[in-house]
Amino acid sequence: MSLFSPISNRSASTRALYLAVYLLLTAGALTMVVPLMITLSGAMSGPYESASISLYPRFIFSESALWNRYLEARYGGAIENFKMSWGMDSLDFFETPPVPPQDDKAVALWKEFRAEKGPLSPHFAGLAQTRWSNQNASLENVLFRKWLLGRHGNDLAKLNEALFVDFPNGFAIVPPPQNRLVLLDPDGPYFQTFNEYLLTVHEDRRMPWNAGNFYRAVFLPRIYGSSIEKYNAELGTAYGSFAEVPFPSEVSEGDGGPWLKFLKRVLNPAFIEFTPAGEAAWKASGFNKVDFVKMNAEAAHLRVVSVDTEFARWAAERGIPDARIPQPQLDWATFKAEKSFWRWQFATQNFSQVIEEVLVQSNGARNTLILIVLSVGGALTVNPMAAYALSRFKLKQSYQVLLFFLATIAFPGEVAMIPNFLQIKELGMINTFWALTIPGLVSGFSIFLLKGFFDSLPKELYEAADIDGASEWQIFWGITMNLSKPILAVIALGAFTAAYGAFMFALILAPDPDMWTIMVWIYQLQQGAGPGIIYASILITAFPMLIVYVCAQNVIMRGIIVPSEK
Amino acid sequence: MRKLGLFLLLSVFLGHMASGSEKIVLRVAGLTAGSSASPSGVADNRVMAEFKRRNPDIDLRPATGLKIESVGDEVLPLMMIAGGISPDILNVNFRRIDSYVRQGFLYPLDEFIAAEEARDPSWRRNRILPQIEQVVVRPSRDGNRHSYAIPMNYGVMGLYYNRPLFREVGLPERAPKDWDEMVEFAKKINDADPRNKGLILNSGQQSSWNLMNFLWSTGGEAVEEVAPNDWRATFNSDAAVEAFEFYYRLTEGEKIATRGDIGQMTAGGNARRVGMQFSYIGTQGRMDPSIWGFGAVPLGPTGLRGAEINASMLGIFAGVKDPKVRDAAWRYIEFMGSDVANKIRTDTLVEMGQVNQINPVTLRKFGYTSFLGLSEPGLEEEFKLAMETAKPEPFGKNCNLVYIEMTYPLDQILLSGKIASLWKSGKREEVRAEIKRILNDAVAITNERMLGMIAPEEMQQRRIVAWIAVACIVAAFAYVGRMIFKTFSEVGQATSRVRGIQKYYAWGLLAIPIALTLAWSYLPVIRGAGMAVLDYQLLLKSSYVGIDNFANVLYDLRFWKSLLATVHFAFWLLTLGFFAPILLAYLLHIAPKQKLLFRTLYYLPSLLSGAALYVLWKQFFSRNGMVNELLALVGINVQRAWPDDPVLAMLSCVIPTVWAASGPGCLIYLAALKTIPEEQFEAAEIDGASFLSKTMHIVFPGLKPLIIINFVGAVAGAFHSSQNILIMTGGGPNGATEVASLRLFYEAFMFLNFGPATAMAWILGAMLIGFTLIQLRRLSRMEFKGTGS
Repeated sequence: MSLFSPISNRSASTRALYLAVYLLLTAGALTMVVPLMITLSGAMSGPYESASISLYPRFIFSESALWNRYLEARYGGAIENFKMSWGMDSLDFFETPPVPPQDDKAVALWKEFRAEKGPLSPHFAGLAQTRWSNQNASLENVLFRKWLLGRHGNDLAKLNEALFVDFPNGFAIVPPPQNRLVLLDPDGPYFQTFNEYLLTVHEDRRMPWNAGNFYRAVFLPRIYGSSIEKYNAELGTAYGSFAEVPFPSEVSEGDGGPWLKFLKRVLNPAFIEFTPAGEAAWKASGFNKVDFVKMNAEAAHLRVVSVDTEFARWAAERGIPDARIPQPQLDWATFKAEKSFWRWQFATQNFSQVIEEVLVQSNGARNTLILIVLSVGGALTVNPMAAYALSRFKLKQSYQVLLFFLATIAFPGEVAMIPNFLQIKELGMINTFWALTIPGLVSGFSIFLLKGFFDSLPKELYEAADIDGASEWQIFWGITMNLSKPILAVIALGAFTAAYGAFMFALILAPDPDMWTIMVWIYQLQQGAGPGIIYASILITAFPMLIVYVCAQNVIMRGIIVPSEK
Repeated sequence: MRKLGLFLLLSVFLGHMASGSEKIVLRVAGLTAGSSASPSGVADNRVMAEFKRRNPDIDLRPATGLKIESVGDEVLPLMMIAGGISPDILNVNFRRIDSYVRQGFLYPLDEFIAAEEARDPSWRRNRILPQIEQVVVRPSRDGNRHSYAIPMNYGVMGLYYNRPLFREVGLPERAPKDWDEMVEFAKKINDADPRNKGLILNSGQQSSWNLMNFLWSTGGEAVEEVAPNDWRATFNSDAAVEAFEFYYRLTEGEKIATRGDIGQMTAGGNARRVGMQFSYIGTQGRMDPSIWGFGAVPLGPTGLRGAEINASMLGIFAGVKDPKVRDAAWRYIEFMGSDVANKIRTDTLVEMGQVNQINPVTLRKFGYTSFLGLSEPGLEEEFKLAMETAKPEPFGKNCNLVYIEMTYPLDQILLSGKIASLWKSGKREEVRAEIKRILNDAVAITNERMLGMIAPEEMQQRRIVAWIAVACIVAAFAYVGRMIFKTFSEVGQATSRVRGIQKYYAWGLLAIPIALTLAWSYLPVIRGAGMAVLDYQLLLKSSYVGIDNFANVLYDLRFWKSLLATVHFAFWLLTLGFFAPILLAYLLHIAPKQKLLFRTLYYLPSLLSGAALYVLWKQFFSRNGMVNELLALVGINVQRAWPDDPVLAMLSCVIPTVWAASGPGCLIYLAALKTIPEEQFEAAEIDGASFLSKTMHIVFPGLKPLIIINFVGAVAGAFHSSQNILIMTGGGPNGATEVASLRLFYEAFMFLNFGPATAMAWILGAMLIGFTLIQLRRLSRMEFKGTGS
């Protein structure tokens, strides 16, 4: 079936034509595929990568992009955690932070300190995730959820009861508040359970609460602005940056300046202990600890006890002054060791979040399935029935009836929108599958196509069947329907697409969340989601369609009806 | 023992019954149904739990758990009210409260407020800011003034500045104080790095929310109340001219500000390069404080400033008849805005480490003074400044129109070639005169739409024209109906008749499809047809207005412009969208190899579901989106986002459809090409016909019937697409893409004018009837063949 005979196939002009055809086709195919690749790449991107459009996610090939992405995930997208851990004010996730300079001595010292002290207590180091929104999934959230559910036999009700929590679904499980440098420790069984969990987490994934760095990188810049000058002027110092400002665990003389302000106003009293002098003053005051710290304490009364100050003290005892936790170097080392894991994680996490969130709504898949079965089944019953009646029995009015069906195409849909809805309501069909299927069941155009197709079937078959005494049902099923599979497939595909994709209508007609289809849940998920999640959800919803198309494409091609003039 | 067991069982049963019947069911919109892991989600859950604890007799049920942005925001509540499944408590915003009151959706709250005030005399003062008093108290249909809604939390507009970026370019870490400083800061940011956007402003229908800052800061107003609840648009004052001129200077004249979709320009990593933007700061929420510092709106040239204050409000649905339910609804509203609830929200945010999300005023109120040090310096003062000069979003009768109406002259000014050349030659006086002229015209149109009242003799004349038009419509429908019927009857007569049992079979099989078609296609259209002659009300009794709806539509300039836009849209959609699949099919047909691969590749885009497709492409068409970046590679620099460009906007609505529909669309042509008999080509080959002549004389005639049929269908289809345009451009710029079906959608669901909207649909239908006629007549003469191969 070619436009050219084998002979002309070889001529130069034909070859040029073929070349042009393939060039055009390829160019067209590129415009089809490039946006899809950008979508795919976007679905793998994180919240801070969406500024740059690319055909593939940059972190696949670029180590620096991966490093950036890793840090963003490591600190749960919370810039303050990042600043607190690295002790630098100028950090953000928008631009790749520098690879930290190698400092084996500091790392070795820290390792030695850690080896000596045993596991980090939950009080000293938390879990560096604070991602609550659906901008991107947090691996730590997922792991914690699995651990917690596993502990309670994957029974959410049991979990809620045992820990006095109220999670509406598994997906809503989040670790308790983390911001312990600032907040009083929360209490209760859920919090204790989380502390137990923390002890099971590898130290590399935890985040030491670094009071000194928080002071340098968050507190001081808030008070003095981002430049050190005002600080130097007020305190008569000459530091080059806030990072150089010391954070002693105690201040033996003077009023303590911003250090005391930090302790009194911001720092969680759980990280504050009394010096012997403070102990005495506190006992004498009659206040509780918190009130005494916040209101009465003087600089000489207080001592900070956090991981960083403990480490500095331990190092000072060994003659090493001003030791700081080499967090950047530790992070870099962890990153180097886990690169391929994170690459895979970033490439897949948005997809798995979408899939998980949709599957959590167990009714969604069921509803979608029911809706599709009803719609496809209905469309394949009612429309062929009408078409068969019009094609097989030559009624006098058959063309008028056909017109009756076909004229509906011309109706202005906007006029019918509200009355349609009222009618559904009057018939009590709201929140039923009938509301979603029945109004669109009969399609004038489908009947028209089917009738045309049925008409084109060989008359001899019917005559033979009549002679054999076949029943009407046998003729309908055995001959007409049997020979019309391709066009039925086309109609089924149309009904499937409509039922699968309808979300707005599905929502208005079935407001009860128990009735929502997958599409409605996806739409819910997309509200306020980051671009990565939106792209991933777009691709995931397209996937079933792709499967259907691939499986059915040959049948569909055969079911296409071509009109020709009589 | 057995007796005891039975007794226990019985008591449990009775207890269950009792508690079941006692509970008052309260249907509330927006109860979260999905994940509630975000701090605000957790806070909402806790507030809800506390409400349930305090009100064990109330059973809260979600009316719908879904919050729909854009389209659904407008349609869903109306549909639910129309269908009588509205939640008992309605969300109301400022610009819609008056129409909600006049449509009778809201129940007056005076009795409840009086009861609260008897308990706590300062209740009203605590809950309703003086600036918002006049929004809450609206005249009802009978003219009496009542309070209709209670605000929940306030947001006031300010100018956010990007702290890291300000630091990077060496600006002070504060928002600019006045316009001059804002211009200076923005320029400095722009100059520092070509990627930087010193100031961003929203385009499209959101423009007015930014524009209002300038308008108020020059002392102008969008609307003024000339008589009680009688509002006139006044955005043509000299002060307004100055504000529009400043906006022009920012965006076009000196290109200091970048106009586009703010959501896109600040999404993810984009935010890093944005210097300043206008947005709300609420009592509970604000933009990410680790990046954005807040300042009050900068002072205008005369030292004035005005910032919009807004609030989400709750009211009781008027359809609630049971006083017990009403009382429960009030308890819910009272509680949701109470200090108890706000304290729970604040506590939760603090506990979840979101301290710096909370307004310092709120922190102070709930005793978190120790955290004030963690807020950015000066925030408290800036917030106070913003609140002092706050004015509510226009809220009066028909004022929901104003913000949208103002975007038309704004776009017109920004795109005016005349102003551009005057500006270049430095003729500022003439620029102002031209702006004034455009604004005068726009205000005249807006006022006519807002008033909705025309002099009686003028109306009389309009009615006559409308009667003629309606007569034409009826005649068109009748003629076409007859023609089609005749055509079909002619075809029908050729067939023989059936008798006996077969007849019953036939009608038996047809009964269900006919019944369904009657019930779900004909009946709704007939019922809907009546709406065209009514002042249709969703809740109240609709009154008969006769021909007036038609008269108003026919004299509505916007409607005729939208028709023009429809033709424009149809032209592009057909030029690009209709022929692309034919060409593609032909190419695929010629290609000897890899047909399947290409066919599949071209089919892929259509797998993306409808709305998502346009959301995706909207990102591609943004100012720095994929399309512009690719064009820049070949040396074409497009300065705007496509949806904001008067020429490209229409293309941006068309291209996604073409992209997605070409693959599936080409299949039918591909099938048709296969039906062209091989012998014809062989004969032509022997005659030595060229490729071109084979195409013209064999291929084209073979495809002709199909092309004609599809073309007619495509025209009709082009007249009915509105949702994709709504997503892409919202009808802008300056109405360039406001097609008739979109106009209709706005009329019905934004302005609640269902009567005129229906009239519009009929006029549109009448215009399409010609195409429908051709299509149906052709269809009746066609026979259909499966390609079977």
